Amino acid sequence: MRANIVMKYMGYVLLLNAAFMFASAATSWYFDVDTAFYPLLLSGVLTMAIGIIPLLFVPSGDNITSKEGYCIVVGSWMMSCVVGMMPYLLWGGEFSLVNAWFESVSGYTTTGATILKDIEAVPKGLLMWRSATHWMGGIGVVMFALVILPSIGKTKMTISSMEISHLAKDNYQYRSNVIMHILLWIYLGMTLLCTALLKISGLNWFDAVNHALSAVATGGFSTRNASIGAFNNGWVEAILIFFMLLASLHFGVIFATLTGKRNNMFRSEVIRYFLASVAVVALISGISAWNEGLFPTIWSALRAGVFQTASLISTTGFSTTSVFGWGAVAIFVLMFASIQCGCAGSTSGGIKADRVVLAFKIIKARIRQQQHPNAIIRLKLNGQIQEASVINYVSIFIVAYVAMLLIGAIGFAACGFTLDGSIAASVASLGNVGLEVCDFGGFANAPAFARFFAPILMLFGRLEIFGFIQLFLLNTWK
Amino acid sequence: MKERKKQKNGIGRSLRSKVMMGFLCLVVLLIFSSVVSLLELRHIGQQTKTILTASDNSMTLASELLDAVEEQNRAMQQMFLNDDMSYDSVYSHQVAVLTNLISQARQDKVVGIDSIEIAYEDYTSTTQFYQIHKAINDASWYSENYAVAYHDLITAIREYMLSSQVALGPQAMAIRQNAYRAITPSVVTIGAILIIVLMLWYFLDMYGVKTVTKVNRSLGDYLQYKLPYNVKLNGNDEIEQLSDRIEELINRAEELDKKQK
Repeated sequence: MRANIVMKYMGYVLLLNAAFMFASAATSWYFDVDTAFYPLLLSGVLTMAIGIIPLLFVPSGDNITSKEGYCIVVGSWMMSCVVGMMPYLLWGGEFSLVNAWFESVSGYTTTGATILKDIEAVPKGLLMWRSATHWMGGIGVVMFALVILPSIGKTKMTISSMEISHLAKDNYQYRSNVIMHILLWIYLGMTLLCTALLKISGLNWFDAVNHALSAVATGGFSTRNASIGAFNNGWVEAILIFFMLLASLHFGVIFATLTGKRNNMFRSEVIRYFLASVAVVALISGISAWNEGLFPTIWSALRAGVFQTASLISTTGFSTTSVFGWGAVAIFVLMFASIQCGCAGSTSGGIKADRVVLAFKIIKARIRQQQHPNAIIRLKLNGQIQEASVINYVSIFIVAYVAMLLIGAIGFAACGFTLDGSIAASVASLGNVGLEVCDFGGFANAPAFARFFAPILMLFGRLEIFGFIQLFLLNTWK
Repeated sequence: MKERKKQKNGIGRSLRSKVMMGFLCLVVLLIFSSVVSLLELRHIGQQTKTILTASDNSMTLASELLDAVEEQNRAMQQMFLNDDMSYDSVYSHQVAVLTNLISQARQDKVVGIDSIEIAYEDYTSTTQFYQIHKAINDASWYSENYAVAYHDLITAIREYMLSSQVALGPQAMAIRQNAYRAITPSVVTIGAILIIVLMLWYFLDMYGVKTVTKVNRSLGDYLQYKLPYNVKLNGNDEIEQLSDRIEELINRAEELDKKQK
């Protein structure tokens, strides 16, 4: 493996990070040069310097191997998380080393959990940086860099195949270069549209931009302590529900729908299943909440149920009210939604609806196989026959995911979390949901080890478990 | 052909310029972080000055108010207890001083002056000149009206003194934050510089030292064992130029040998 080539592509990603730091510094400057201006500016300069060095020395024009592609993707994620700590560390306040690590990883992995006790006391530039980390992480830090890179043989294909989940590729019927442009244009278009609609609904520009960046990336960082509940605006909730759910759909399918192609969202069984699960979970959780007497009318309970369901199933993590106290039934169905999450090829985390649908089909096929031992049963997803390797991977992934959930819960329990608190924290971290954690009043007051451990789980979730495990087994990869 | 291609594309970025740019990055980082630290230190200086000035002003005002009230009280006591009306001028002078101080504080928008103003109004209404004439030798008026009003006024002034010091607390915290922001850039920059230095060392080793070693070894093999000089480089810099020229030199030497034979 050529470390110099890996460093070169990581350098491009760092330059992208530096660009967003400068943009956040510009926001600071706009708001009367607040206290985050110099930290963001210096962070941008440092990141740019680190990113530029490999570009000076390493010549261009090399094709890369799959191992190098993997190292570029994972290395870029890790380096982004590390340099993303710098603005927080330089600003100070509540950001100790562990807290800066937590906030940075939570941003890039689009989890949205925070260690801040008073978000509104943080300067605007730093809030913009938090949202920017969401936006970069939502589509994958590498994807941006790949779009601006000149086409170099199989390089882009190799790297993009590492960044995009296998199931997501099924709905793309284009070359790698086109796929990346589709992803980026859909992503950018959704962000701009969401910003405009939020502004029209009554938010100021700053809040509109930040919440749009967060919603489309399905992140969850808000500029307010009470999250979306602070606005008390039905239109804002409706717009965010729409975009959170849209961002949970396969971007290629969205593109196909917009361009009138055959594989549009109306023909996708996964999307039909996903929307049905949203409806069912919203209904059950809303009714359960109303039953607990937390809401004056059934409609207000359903409104809250829909919003929280959309927020959790998309792994965004925005909230209009606390879900703890909605009753055990509501908690369970919302937990299921947080584990299943959105569709492959979206910005959401979790197991993914595609794998859940396939898992149901595997179970159904297994029952039929027992009835007809000699039958050859092929599994189809969205009309496409799934290979045995894909089916095996889905089964293994679900098992690995549940195992990681358990390990995560044990880790949090060891930090002093209660039983349900440790499960909730594990689901929130691994699924990149960012759901509020009841114990200790949130991660802000949790033990330092929990704030160090949770980001590790977040990275496992964002890199789909095996992606992160491979990092420790590079020596055996020939 | 190779030479013509190089001439068309130029030498490419030379090793010297790459190394220079690398070290220039380090210099820029050091200067930038120093500038940021200095700016934060300047903030600290300004905030410290603001705090000290505000503290000094509030202490001075409180002290002057207390002195004036004490003088007024002393004059009142002389007039009331000893029936000495010559202290009336002292009393009137202190009333003017107090009124001046309070109106100046109001103009300067001093926070907390309202409670002093209210207490002072109550005090002056109790001590009107005709009150003194009516209340001579009236012990109950002194203990129930005057002493209470005087005590309230002193308390209001002391509370103002205390609250103005407490109000400086957030500013003191801001100084602490700025001190952190003055020091941390240097620490973080040192960390970043370490990473850059390691990278520079790695790349200089890869594209400088190892390349020269390769050329040296191949040349040594040619001279000692007559093995063909075969070095393939991809740097497009001074070392590749050197290698190409060595190869050319070897080729010419071999051609000369052949001609001589």
